[in-house]
Order: sequence, then C-alpha cells, then structure tokens
Amino acid sequence: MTIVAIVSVSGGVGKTTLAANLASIAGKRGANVLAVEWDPANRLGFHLGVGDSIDDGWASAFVHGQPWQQRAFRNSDAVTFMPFGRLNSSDRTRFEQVLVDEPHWLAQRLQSIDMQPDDLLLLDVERGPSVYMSQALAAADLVLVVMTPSPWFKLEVQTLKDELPEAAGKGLTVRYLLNFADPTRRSAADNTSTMLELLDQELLRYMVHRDESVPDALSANLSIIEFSPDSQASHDLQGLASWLQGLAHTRWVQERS
Amino acid sequence: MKRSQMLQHWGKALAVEDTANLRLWLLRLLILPAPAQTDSFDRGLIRLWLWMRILLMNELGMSEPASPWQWLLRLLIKPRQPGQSLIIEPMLRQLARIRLYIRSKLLEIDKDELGYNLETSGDHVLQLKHRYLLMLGGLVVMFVVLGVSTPMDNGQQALFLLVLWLAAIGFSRLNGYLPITVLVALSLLATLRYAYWRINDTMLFDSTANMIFGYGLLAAEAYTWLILVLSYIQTIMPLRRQMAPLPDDKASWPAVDIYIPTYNEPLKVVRTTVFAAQGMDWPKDKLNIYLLDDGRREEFRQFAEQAGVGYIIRPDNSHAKAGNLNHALTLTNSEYIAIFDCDHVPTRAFLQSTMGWFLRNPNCALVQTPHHFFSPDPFERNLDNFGEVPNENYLFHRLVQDGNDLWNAAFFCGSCAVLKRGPLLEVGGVAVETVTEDAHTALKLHRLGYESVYINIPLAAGLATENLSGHIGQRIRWARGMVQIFRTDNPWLGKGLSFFQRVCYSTAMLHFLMGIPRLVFLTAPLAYMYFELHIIHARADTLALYVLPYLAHASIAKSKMQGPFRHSFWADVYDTALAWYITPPTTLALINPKFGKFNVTPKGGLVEQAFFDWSISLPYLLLVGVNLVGLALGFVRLFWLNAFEIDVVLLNIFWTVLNLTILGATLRVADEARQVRAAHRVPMKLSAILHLANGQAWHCETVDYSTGGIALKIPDALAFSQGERVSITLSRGDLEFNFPAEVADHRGQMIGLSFKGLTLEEERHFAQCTFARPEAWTQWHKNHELDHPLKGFLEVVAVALQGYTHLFRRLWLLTGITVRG
Repeated sequence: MTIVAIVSVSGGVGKTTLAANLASIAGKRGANVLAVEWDPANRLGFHLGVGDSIDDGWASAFVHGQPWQQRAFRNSDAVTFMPFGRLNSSDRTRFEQVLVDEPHWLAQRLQSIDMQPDDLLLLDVERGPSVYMSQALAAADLVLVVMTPSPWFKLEVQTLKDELPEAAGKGLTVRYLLNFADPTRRSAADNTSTMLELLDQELLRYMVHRDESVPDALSANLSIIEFSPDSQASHDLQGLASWLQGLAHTRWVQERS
Repeated sequence: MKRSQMLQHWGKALAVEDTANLRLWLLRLLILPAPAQTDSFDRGLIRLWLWMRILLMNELGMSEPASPWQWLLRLLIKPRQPGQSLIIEPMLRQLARIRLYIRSKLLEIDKDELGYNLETSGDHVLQLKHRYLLMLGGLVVMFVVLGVSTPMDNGQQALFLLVLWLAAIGFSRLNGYLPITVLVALSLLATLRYAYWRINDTMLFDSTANMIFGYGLLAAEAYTWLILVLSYIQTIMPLRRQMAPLPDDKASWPAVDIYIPTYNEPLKVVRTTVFAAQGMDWPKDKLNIYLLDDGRREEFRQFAEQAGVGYIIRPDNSHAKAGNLNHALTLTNSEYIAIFDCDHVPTRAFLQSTMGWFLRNPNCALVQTPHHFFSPDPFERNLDNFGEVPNENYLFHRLVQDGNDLWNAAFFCGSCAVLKRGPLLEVGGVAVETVTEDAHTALKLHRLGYESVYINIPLAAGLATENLSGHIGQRIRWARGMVQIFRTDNPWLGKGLSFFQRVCYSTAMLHFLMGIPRLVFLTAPLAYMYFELHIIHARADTLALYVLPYLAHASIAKSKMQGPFRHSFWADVYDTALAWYITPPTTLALINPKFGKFNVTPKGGLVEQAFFDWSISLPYLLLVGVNLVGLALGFVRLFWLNAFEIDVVLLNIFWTVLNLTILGATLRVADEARQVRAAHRVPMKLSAILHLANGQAWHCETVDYSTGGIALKIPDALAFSQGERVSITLSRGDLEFNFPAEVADHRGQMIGLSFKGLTLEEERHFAQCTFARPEAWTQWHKNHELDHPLKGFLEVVAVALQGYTHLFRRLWLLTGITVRG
C-alpha cells in the first residue's frame, strides 16, 4: 500500500478536487483505491458524488466511540471513500488533543487497514500548517504539495519545510504539484518558469492546467474524465494518475525484492 | 553467319520470297504460314513455332484463319477475358506459387545479420577503411584480368551476364557495407567490360560523318564512366559520424558568433531565423548573433535592435555574400563562426551537436550539417511528390557529403556550418575568387591540412527555391562556380590534398560538366533517324548484351547505395532539366573562369497563378520536337526504308522513346503549379492546449504550422465560428508559451488558427517552439519509400505521360479554343 498525502498550505488551490479526480481515474482503471478524508471541512464527499448530506464519518465515529472502520462508501467509479464526518467544536478540540498527544495516531490507523501492496491510499489533508498535516506527513509515503503559480510560492515551500523535520528521515518523498497552470496569463506563466527553475526536480512535471471544464464537471456531479475526456484537465490528471500508479507499483516491486 | 545470309536462310525456310519486306515476314510468321521449306533441324524449329503459334492463338481466343486485325485486336485492343486461358494462366499460377515459396524461404534469412556477419568476418585483421580498400582493389584487379578483356560470343556473354545479374540481385537483398561493395564491384566489372568492348570493337567507321558523331558519343560515354567510378569512390562508405559530446563544465565552452547574411530577402523570412538562433542552447554570454545586411535596410536595422542582435552593414556589396562575411569577420572576435543563410532556421540543438568536434579535434576547421528544406522545391511542387520522392538536395546532403567525410573531404556549403576563425583567416577569409565561395574556402582549408567534419543530422531547415527559373538560376551559379574552381584551383594540382580528397572534390566539380554529355545522349539516336549514320559499329543484339548490364548493374548498385535518399531515374530528370542551362556557363567558365557575374537566388516569392513556363522550357520543347520527328522517321525506317536492319531501327526507336520519357518528365516540371500559401506549412505532431474564451482548455494535437498560423486536430464536440478569438499553448522543453489567435477555418476535426499581431517576444517563442525544436527535422525522410529501380522508372514514366498531356492541354489553350471542364 502506498499512502499519498495530498496537502496544501494555501486555500483554494484545488487540493480536494485533485484528490477526488485522481481517485476516480485510478478507480475507473481498475486499481484498488481508498480515498480517506483527513479534513474536518468534509468536502471530499461532494466531489466523489456522495453529496453534502454526510454527517457520520470515520473520525466522528472514533470520537463517539463507534467502530470507525465501518464508515466507508463505494461510488460508481469504484472508489472506496471514508468521509471525515461532522464534529462539533468541542468534539473537534478533543479529537485534535488526541492527535497532539499521539503524533502517529493516523499512521497507526492507516497501517491497520488491510490493503494489497500496490493499492493506493489517497489522503485529502486539511490545509496546513496544522496538526492534521503533521499527522499526515508522519503517515505518508508520498506527499503531493498542491500549489498554484503564485508569487508567494517560496513562502509556501518554507512553511511546508518547517513542518517536515519531524517526519523526515523515513524515506518520505515530497513533490510539488502545480495546479491551475495557466500559460494564457503572463504572471502565472512567469511564476511557473521561476518555480521550474527554483524547485527543479522537486516540482512534478505533471502540472494540471486551469480549465473551466473542472468546475463544470463538479456541477454535473461527474468526474472530469467522464464529463469531458478530451479536456486538458482530463489529460493532465490522466498523466498524473499514471505516474502515481507507476510509483505505487515500483514501490511494491522494490519492497518485494 | 552474316545477317543477310541469315535472313536469306530463314526467308527460304519460311517461304518469305522477299526478305526485305517486313509485311511478308509477319504474314508468314503469324497469319498464313507456309509449310516448312527446309529439312532437318530448322524444320523442327519451324514446327515448334507453328505449334506455339496455335497455342498462342488459342490462348488469345483467336480462330483460324487468323487475320492481322485479329492479332491487333487480341493483343492490343480487346484481350481475352481472364480465366479462359488454358495453359498460360495456370502455368503463371504455378510459377507464382513457386515464387512465393522461395520468397517465404528467403524471408526467413536475417538479412541484417548475414550482412553483418559477412562484414565483420575480417574485423580483427584490418581496420575498416583499409579492409574495404584492399578488398575493392583485389576485386577490381581480378575483374580486369578475367572479366573485362576476355572475348565472348553472344551466347557466352549472355550467360556471363546472367550469372553476374543473379549475384547482384542476391547481394542487393542484404544489408550492410559489404553487399554494397560487391554490387559496386559487379557494376565496375560490367562498366569496364562494356567500355573495353566499346572502344575496341565498335569504333570502325566507314565515313567521316559517322566517325565524328561516333567519337562524340564515345566521349560523352567516357565522361559518364568516369563520373560513375568517381562517385562510387565518393559514396562507397558514408561515415555516419556521431556527435562529439561537450564537456560538462559550461565555462569551458567557446564563444560563437552567429552570422546571418542577407541581401534582398523579406524581413519576415529573416525574423524566424534570428529568433531561432537566439534560442540555441548555448551560454548566453558566449552567443553573439549578427545580422549582416547587404541590403542596408532601415527596417532590418530596427528589427535587429528590437530583437537584441547585432547589425552589420558595409559601404559596398563587393564579392556579395563572401564579401559580406569577410567584412563581418573584421568586426567580431569569437573563436568560432556559425553561418546561416537568412532563411535557414537553426534548431536549438545546433551548437551543442556540432561544437564538440572542435574541442575533440583541434585540427578541425569546419563542421558542416545538411541543408534541409521544409518547402517543396519547384520539382516537388510541380510534380506534387513532396515528402514522397526524395529531392535532388537529399542525395548530396545526406549521402554524398557523408561519403566525402570518410575521406576528410566534406566541404562547406555556405550555410548551417561552423568555421574556426584562425584557419579561416589563414586562408584569407571566405574565398572571393569564384562564385561558389563555400566549396572553394573548404578546398583551401583542406590544402592547409585542416580537417572537416560532417554531422549528418538536419539541425536547421530552410525554404527551397520558389520557382523553376530561380532553381535553375541557383544551379547555374553552382555549376559555374565549381567549374571556375576546377580551372583556377584544380584539386588535382597543387599541394596539400590526399588522393581521395582530390577524387571527392573533382567529382563534385566534374558533375556540373554533365550538360554536353546529356545533350549528346538526348540527340544521339537522331543521327541514325535523320541521316542514317551508324555511330556505333556493332550489331544491335551485341550492343544490348553489353550496354544493358552496364546500365542495370549501375542502377542496382546506386539504388542500394542511395537507399532512401534518391529514387532511381529521378536524377536523370533533375539533370536533364539543368543540362541545357548549365552547358553555356560551364563551357564558358572552362574557357575563361572570369566570365559572367554573381546572381542571388530569389527566395520567399510566390507563384500566384498556375502557368506553363514557356521560356524556360523552350529548349526542351525543341528537343521533344526533334525527337518526335525522329521517332516518326524511325517508324518510316522500320517499315519501309530500313526494313533490312530492323534490329538497328528498333534499338534507335527504343533509345528515342527513353529520351522522350525523360524529356516529358522535364516538361512536366515546367508546368508551374499555383502556390496557395505565402507561408509554408510544416507538418508536426505535438501536444498543444487550445484555450477558449470561456476558460475551457482542450487537449489537442497539432497538424502543421507556419510562421503565420497553426492547424490542430480537435475533439469532435467543439464548435467554432469564423474569427473567434482563442489561444494556443505550445511547449518548449518544460516551458509553455501561449499565443493568441483567431479561428481561420474549421472543418470536422481540423481547425486552422491564424496569428494576428503577435508581439516580438511571442513571435520569438513561437519560432523556438516549432522550427527550432531539436528533433524537428530528424524524422523527415522516414516517409520516403526505399528505392526500387523499376518503381523509380515507372514513376518517371507516369510523370512523363502527365508532362505530355499537360503540354498538349496548354497548347490547346493557346489556340484560344475554350473547352468545357
């Protein structure tokens, strides 16, 4: 099992949309994908077609002392999905206290899930820096840091790096993923070329372009590849998903030998 | 037995009373045979023929008594339906099955491996180059002693040829250098045997006129033998040199000046070249680009300033391009100078692919790369075979230069090359004595012992000449220049060159003297047709037995060597089209190298309306005219005047028809097709993003591009209106660039976008995303089919037929009668 944490340090970068679409693509291709929501905002379900009516999730189940393992859905794209669940303010404070006390709480829970070696576990992580992000960094094999071509990307990188030291040292791979790449806008294009230069190999070459088809797909309650298979966003996400699956497979092969 | 005796003998046997009467022969053979009039062996033969005649008539569905009309009808007009044949068709089917079986067995042989094994069998003994020389030498000596001078009668000669021919066919199916060497050896044998016989046995003349024409023809033939042998040496083993890697430390890379000389070319052509040059992968502080404007145009100066490149002018235009380059040499100071004609767009990989050799070999003074053209030359445009049949340029740049490189004789071609300043100054800069300054400069460098390198990868591409007159004008200049060098600085004289360098240079120069020999071959049979001159003293069948193998082996060997770079017989079309025009300048240059003046090739023009170039094709129309009359005379001779020497007449008719074929193809080229676009479209399959005004982005594939626009293959669902504003993103390495455009046309899955008002920077990026991609031209010849001599011939025949139909249509139009459709 390869655990991929999809994180961001700024809001509105399209992290949850990316996570949902990646899960759908891999699921449609027949891969065994588990999308785990690790964000009290509870938006991933919306993207995966479960709608906005979910109250119970695996975190809320845990807080309420119920078996958290049973809070999973499966959608028509063959994605298994574990929503976070709604927590009121005091429950959330209690839960977060647990997370502060047990830095490997998430890692232990995820490791206990029975999955095959080349299966994918996608973690939609609350925007950092936060206790959720720290937990995710400690649990993940691969961290995808979603960014936009913005002038403050260096700040974002610094913020993330500050979070990393605790988790580093166990072979964690960090890759920056550019979303909303937009060659039509001069500033975005300039920022992109600066990022390419400064981040070099840490910046994934699979960037996802700004494409109005993505929000349109969400309105139609479909994944982007179903809604608009020829769109640039579909093309980009397909490439990204292939890269992820390839990586998971390589890891499995390496582990075995 | 003499021919007349033979005719008498068989005439008697077949009851042909008048042996000079062709009609009677046909009557007795085909229509109304008389019973055999003779005895013994001949009687058997005649019976055999009679039996075959019946068989043939059955096959053709004729009935006794046969009439001439039946023969004509069945043979030419309305053949019998297939499937009714009793013997021939089943027999052919059996043969086809056997052939298929043999072919399937042959396919099981791994040709690459067998060729390779043959080739490497002696690897440990000798170095590659020496081994081939030794082998070739040995074979030639053997052939000369055994094969060339041994007299044989017709039957023996035929058998000998059959063996050689089968060997050639066998070897032509293997891959590698060795089979080529064997084919060349076989061809040399056939050539030498023919030449030996031709000189010894056929030069007996009974009149002065015969003698004059006879020696003229022999001289022309001797020229082709010489060129054949020289070109074999030149291209026996193309070097296929690899690139030399540069050191990792970019600080050690040398500084390079890029010269882009221009005189009267339009700015829009030059812009792309400058932009592409700016995108070359080389440290920016070591890359100095200069526009050398001999036109001294304000527009160009402003552009150079905006684009941020140097701009150099001089007070006069002395020595044209060579003078322009030499003037710039005094003003810049980098150690290396890369030169691009203003319409040759370099790819970004150009310097990194070429400069390594200078660092590896300090004695290297020149690195040349092929000239590649992304627009069709007039031949390709008018024949509409662009991208299918390799053009004339291909053979030289992809094969001949690579062959020269083996002998350290690859020469400078004026563009797409890098020169080293020191050696260049040592020979006094770019040569100005002749009009082909490039080759002459290289010759001087070689004389001083410097080396040249040829990288056989297209790393730049440009526009071919636009129309036939421009094309011919350019070739006239090359021809004149090369002959000038031959006269003033002959590669066989003077110091400093190796034997093979002398061979290579002189081959390049002598090639341009092909004008007169070509014209001789185009008119030689007419000497017989018009004046009944026997300029070759030989029986037609013997002549055929000598000359056909010479031609066939040369064709097989060349076809194998030239592979994808030339289709057989097209060279004859290209050369014939030039022959008339280069004859006067080359002849004059031979007499006095100073005659004539420099002219620049027009580029970027446009043939706006289809037209027939009467003035340029006039000499060829005359040649067609005299050959057609000759052909008519030939038939008169065949049936009436010279019915006693049918074989001679038939041979000359055959020759005339061949000439008319080549001339027809040449005429076809003169029928200038209209050019649709001002900017040439280059096919290219690349990922692109199409951005719509509503924010949607679509993944597309490009189809082709030009400086003014791009065509895309788009998803079905999209709809566009004419003039809609969109934009397109292309990538260059990791970087992406966006170009605003509007929809020019939309048909099904294809959309054409045109750029309007790109900024200078956008224009630069566009050039760098398209023309300057490193792999832009490397796959170009993959669409060319491999040569097959017979196929090449049929292509030429088809084009020739078109040539005549077009000519007659044009003539018809000239009469002023309008016809529908």
